Amino acid sequence: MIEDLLVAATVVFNWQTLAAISAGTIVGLMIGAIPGLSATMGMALLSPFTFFVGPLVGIPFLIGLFKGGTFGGSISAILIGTPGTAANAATLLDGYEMRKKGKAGVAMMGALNASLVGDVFGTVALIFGAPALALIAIQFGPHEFFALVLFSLTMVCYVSGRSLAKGVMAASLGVFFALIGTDPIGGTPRLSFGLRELQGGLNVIALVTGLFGITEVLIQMESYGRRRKLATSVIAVELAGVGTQLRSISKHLWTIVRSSLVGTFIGALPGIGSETSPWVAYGLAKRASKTPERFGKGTLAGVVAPEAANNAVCAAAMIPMLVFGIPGDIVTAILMSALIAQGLQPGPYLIAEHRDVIFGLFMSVLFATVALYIFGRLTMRWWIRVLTIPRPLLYSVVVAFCVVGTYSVKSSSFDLAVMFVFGVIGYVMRKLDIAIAPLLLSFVLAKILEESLRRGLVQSDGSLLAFFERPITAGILTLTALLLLTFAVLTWRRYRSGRIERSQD
Amino acid sequence: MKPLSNVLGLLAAIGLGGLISTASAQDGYPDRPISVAACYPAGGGVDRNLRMVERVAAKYLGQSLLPQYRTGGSGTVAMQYIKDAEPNGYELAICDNGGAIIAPIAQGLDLDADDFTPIVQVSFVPWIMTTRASSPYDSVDAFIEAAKASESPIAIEISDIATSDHYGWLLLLKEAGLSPDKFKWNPHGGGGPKMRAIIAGEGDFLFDDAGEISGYVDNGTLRPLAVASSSRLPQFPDVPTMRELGYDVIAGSSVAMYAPPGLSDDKVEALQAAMREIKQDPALLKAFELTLQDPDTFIVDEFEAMWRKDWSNAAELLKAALGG
Repeated sequence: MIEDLLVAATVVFNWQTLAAISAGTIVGLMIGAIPGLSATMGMALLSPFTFFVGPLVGIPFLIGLFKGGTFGGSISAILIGTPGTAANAATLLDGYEMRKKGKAGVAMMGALNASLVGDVFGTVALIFGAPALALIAIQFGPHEFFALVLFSLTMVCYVSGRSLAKGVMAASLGVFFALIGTDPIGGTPRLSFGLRELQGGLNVIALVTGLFGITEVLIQMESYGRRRKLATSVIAVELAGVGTQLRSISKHLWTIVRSSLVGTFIGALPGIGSETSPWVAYGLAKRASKTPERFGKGTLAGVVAPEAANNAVCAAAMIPMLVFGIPGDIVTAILMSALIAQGLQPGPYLIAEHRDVIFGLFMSVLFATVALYIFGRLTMRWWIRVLTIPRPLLYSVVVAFCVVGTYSVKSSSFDLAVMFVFGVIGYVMRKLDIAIAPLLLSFVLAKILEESLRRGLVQSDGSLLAFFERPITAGILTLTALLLLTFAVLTWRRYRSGRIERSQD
Repeated sequence: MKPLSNVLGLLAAIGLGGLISTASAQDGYPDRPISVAACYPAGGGVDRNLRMVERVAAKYLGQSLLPQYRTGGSGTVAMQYIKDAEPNGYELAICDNGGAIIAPIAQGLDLDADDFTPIVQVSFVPWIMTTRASSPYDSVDAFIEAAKASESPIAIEISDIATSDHYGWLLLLKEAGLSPDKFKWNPHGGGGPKMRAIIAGEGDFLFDDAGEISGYVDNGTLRPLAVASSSRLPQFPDVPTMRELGYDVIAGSSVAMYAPPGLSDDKVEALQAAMREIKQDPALLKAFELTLQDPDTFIVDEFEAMWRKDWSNAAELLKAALGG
């Protein structure tokens, strides 16, 4: 184990991998810092370009981007009160208040330090948790996979939007789009309308860039004229000194550690991750605080809690993806498709047969943690300026990346059409306030869902009972049912009390 | 005016995208990675052979092979995909004779030998009938007797319906005078998932090759019962052939690479020239030795003739195996 890591360290310690991690982190910080550009979108845009370099260059680049983007989002949350990514929405509550009090520098450094601690927790959980879980993954047959995917989809439906019904709607659409292609059991084409391009199924990269790239551009184009100019007065910010930082860390150490643990745990569950954990961590920090009344009025505890949690998610979310091939959120779904494009199929076999690559990945996650701290500290001032880039310029570049990236995968203009169609679908969904995440995740998971259900049924002679006779399957299915029940009750209560919107908003 | 400039920016970006991507037009083949659709999921013989070739291919092709998994339909999903793919030399498939010949016939698909361009047979490995070491069956005869006496069906783990291991079982049962209906066939979608079910203790019997089972035989998990080849295997000298036991069964998995139909001759030659060199590569030979495969079954030049012969015999063989 330790030996594997040391071997991996020597493999990863070459200039290409280190440069890839650094570049990923810097790009991530920039993308995260710009409101409207999220780490998810950055990964969707840039992942096609990683297919043409080796796995230990391309994947570390994406990991750096993920971590950088998750932290970078806190910069705009604090400075202009607009979270760079959904993961930083909780950060703005106290972060923006702190800036109003002239303590933006303290808040930003606090966020960076908390991210570092969260990162370390998540990474340690990944390095020790994934190989351990892989040992029991051998017990996972089709029945277990079916239950696990169902569980993830239930989670993602609930947490990613305001309405469970809309979440289910989006997830069903995702399953529908995944059905297009070829029947995984019989091998016959279906829903392809005789089009050769459709027989291989829709290209996931075209879907991702459409839903996250093009959709965002459309939304931004529409709102551009109506939005006020960004305040440019934010540029003068004094960063906190080392002494102040150490004092603030030690003061909030327990909050940071607790939030890191929360982030790690939530991240490791398939189906929920970076968008949920900051709120949970924020809520817990507030409840545990001796001065809860200061939350929302600019306390540093309200900044470090969500930031530690969302960065802890980054590494922990890779656990279910690597071990079972079941991504917990969109970002890990994109990471997974990048791994598959490299010929590395996540699942129990990956850890057993490609130990070198897996431990190389673990080491790059560790290096990315260090890179985030170094580059986060060094370049913080740049990103403050990035906030003033003119939108039309920015989104033109985004479209260029969408087009080139999608086209480069298979040189298929059909894929470009798919991308634009899904850009429009995503736009309509956003307008109707339907979350996009369940659609994409269920699209990715539908193949496992269908194949495991049908194979499970074949093995048990068509009897659904087999799903409840196997202990692991029965356990996960029961948990899923309980969750659904809880969600239903919560929704009903909210409806009764007249508060349709979630308390977080 | 604002919306207009937004639209202009968008158009400019799309134009830029088009420019960059057409700039990479090809001269020498291959000038970018070649994707190879594997017909079964990770783990198992097809995946293993793909990996072995992929590891050394870049040295001779000048470009790397990118494994992609297009699994399902007993291997026919990848074969259908490659049949319809653009014959530009950047799309190949790797599959065994189960997915490439037996399953298409069993599924009644409209496929035949001319729908593919055969490139190379990477390996042929005979099946070894194997059971878990903890099972009470210590010989093929014990299994046959038990099956004859048993009231309830005995479960057999197979890669998929009409895959080459399923086909091997059918040949054995026909020789033993047993109906396939007396058994419960558990399809797993590929060799990797099939082995998982055996190791996890969910099943007792499988046909697999020496490379897949040897590790588990060494650590005492699995017990080989008989080999479906004409002579005993050097690595399992104590395991009898099925012929020695009185069952005339020769069956195995022939893993081969295919291109779409209509691939130009010079591209076929470029690929096959690289394959001839790959066959001599010390790293590949070492991998063959470690996975107990016979390097003489890596066949480039005579493969097309073999492929056509297998197709013309297949319908008959399948009918014979099914006893119909």
